[in-house]
Amino acid sequence: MSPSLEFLLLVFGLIVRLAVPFVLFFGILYLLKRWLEPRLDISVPLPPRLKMPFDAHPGVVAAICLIAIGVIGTVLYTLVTNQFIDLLIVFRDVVVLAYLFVLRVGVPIAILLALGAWLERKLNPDAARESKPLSERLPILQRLHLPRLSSRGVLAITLVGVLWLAAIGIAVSRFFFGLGAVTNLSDEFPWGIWIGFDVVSGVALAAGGFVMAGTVHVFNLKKYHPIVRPAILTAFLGYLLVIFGLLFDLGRWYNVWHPIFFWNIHSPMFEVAWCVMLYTTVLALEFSPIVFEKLKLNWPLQVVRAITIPLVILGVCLSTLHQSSLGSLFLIAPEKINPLWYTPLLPVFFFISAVAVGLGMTIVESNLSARAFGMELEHELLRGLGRAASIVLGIYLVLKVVDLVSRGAYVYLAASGFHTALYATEIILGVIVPMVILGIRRGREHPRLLYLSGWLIVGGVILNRLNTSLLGWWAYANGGPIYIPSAGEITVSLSLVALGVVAFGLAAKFLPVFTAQHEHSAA
Amino acid sequence: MQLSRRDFLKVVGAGAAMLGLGANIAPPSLGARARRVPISNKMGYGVLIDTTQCVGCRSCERACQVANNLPVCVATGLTPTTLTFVDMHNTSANPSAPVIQPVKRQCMHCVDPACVASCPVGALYKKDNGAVAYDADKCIGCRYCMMACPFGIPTYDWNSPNPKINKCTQNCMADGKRDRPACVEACPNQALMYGKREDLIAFAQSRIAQRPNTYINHIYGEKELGGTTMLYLSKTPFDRLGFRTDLPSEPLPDLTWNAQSKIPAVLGTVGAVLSAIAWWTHRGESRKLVEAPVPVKNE
Repeated sequence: MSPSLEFLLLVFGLIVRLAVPFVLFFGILYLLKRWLEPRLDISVPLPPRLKMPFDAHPGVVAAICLIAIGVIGTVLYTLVTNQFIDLLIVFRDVVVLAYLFVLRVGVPIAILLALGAWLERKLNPDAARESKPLSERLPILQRLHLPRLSSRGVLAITLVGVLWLAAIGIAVSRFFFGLGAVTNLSDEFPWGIWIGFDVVSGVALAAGGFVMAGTVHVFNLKKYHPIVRPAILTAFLGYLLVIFGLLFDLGRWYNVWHPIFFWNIHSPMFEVAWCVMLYTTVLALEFSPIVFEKLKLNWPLQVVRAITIPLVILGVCLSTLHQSSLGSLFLIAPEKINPLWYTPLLPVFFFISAVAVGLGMTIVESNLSARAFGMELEHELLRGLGRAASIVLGIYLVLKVVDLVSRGAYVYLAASGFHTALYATEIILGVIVPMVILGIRRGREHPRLLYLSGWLIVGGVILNRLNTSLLGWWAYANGGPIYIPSAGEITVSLSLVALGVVAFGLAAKFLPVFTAQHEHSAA
Repeated sequence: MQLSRRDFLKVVGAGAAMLGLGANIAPPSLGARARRVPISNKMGYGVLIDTTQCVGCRSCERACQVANNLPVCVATGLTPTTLTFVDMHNTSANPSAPVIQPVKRQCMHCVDPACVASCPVGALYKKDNGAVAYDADKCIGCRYCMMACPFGIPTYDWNSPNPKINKCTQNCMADGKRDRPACVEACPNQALMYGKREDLIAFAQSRIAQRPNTYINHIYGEKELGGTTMLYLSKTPFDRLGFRTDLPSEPLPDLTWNAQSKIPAVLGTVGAVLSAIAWWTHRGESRKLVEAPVPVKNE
């Protein structure tokens, strides 16, 4: 065990040793007081009872505290002593037993009750007619203010609900029975779409945050200010989802914190882990003014605004590093990746395409939220972004062509039909078409074409990431065993996307994300 | 809180200085031009596998299973419970007269392993004796080692909530239980030889020189990917035995290190340039960074 872990254990032990006697002492004191109170005739009025959260009985609160400390303590203890999995297996057995109990005892009782109610209605129709509606029998239903939704809204909510329910079921089997239970991964294909799409593409799609923040706060192009906040929100949610999705994919996910303590500077993955951790903190700080404004916390708001520029510079530096290091990940496997995608310049390409997709994603996200919230679209600004994206795509394309020719890898365009098709789709639809549309003034000024080219950039970059991490691997061309994502993997990826969309909608509804048009609001 | 322009510049300057320093104070080993320090310069011990001597009896397989407390079975591939197996290859071009050549497969224990370089937490590491070992307590289960391994060796417990990476770690020799691996001990025909890597190479070269008709002039693992400590001798070209012969002679970790080693320089340059741009674009701005206090309504 490393010294830092021992220190953590020590601190935790200290907290437990302090907290448990504290809770016990006051719990006993309180019980003693309750027991003595009726027996003592004290005429002095006692101070009013301390307001507890949820107005609960203090004894209940003490008991809950004790249980919570016990649970947290057990989990942390098993984590640092590497026995967490045993705890998980015990928990799994309890869940399986409870499920069997419900199946064998609960379900027959429910069926009996339903049958009885049905029989009663049949035999005594008068009583059935007099029975009250459900909302009167269950008053809690009246207290829930369910929003009135259009039929499309109901459909969307139903779909998302089904998706999430399925994802929860998949998560249970994945975390209790291993990755093999729900994925099509194998020793030949250890990485699937949970890495290729959720993580590698997810990080790229969240690049809008650093691109827009850099544009406004470093290059001081103030007119783009209204689209910074949504871009930062998208990026922040994106990174949270990447981390959440990574927990699904990591086999020993309970060790996800290990890169903090165990270092290997030779590993690009180590570098990505650190940058993602740090950049998520930076994004949280960049996002925090929105929350502070909502909560009217003036003091922290001023502090964050004062450090905005260094913070944004740090964010851009971290993004530059890990966007490119995601490309470095694949440098280790030259003998497995098709030379159409494998190049020593992978980190450079990953970074440039991340800038392009940051701009493209901002165009897409502005259009989507303008539709969803019925707002005016800032066409002028999006046109500017489109122009910038066209230039970035141009640089990307030139570099790609020069690289392909100088390595002599263009011969592989004739080698495999599948890979040639993928490469051509990625370059023509994802790079050349949006570059041309956005490069021509008439194309930029056509709102629908602008929106379409945003989507094309996004699609092209996703395809590029999938090609580099999955589809460009040699087995896809050589007729070996190939990987096709299972329904479970696709469901989890889709429900993560849905989670992001719903979280964006909620944040836009309750936080001043789109109201920051005034000149003086900084971040 | 009111910030003057001077304070603001101080903050920006401090940020730039901190980021710029990253490049200047970085030790030379992290610098862009510095050569990568190999993960291990200990060549260590290795095994010479003379496929011409192998009769395909699978004693090595069985010895490995017994030594590692794994279920004993006849294996057809590397699995979480099979760390080595004897692969059968037909080396004859004539389909009516097949010639079966057995080849023992296991982790190649590279001199400069891609899996060790790729592991973000250092769960895979090189031992002094040359073995590539694994510390499951550190492992986070990211499977990057499996992506990185050019020989496709590591396997994964796909159906476990507490999965591990499985491969030969020469664990059978741990704690001084043996002076050579169990598979080498078990070989009845001396097809496997344990020794110092340079001695094995010299021995293999002398064998090739003595019997040029029995062996092709190629020791597989001597130069491939910077060398492996598992070395193979063969009668037929190695691509017919299922080996990849198109591998470069540079170690794979060099490829990622080319990119990784530039990080301090990139960080410093990007930070300095951005700070300069921020200073330039904000130069004639109002003296106060935050002019008006945020409207706060006390309720």
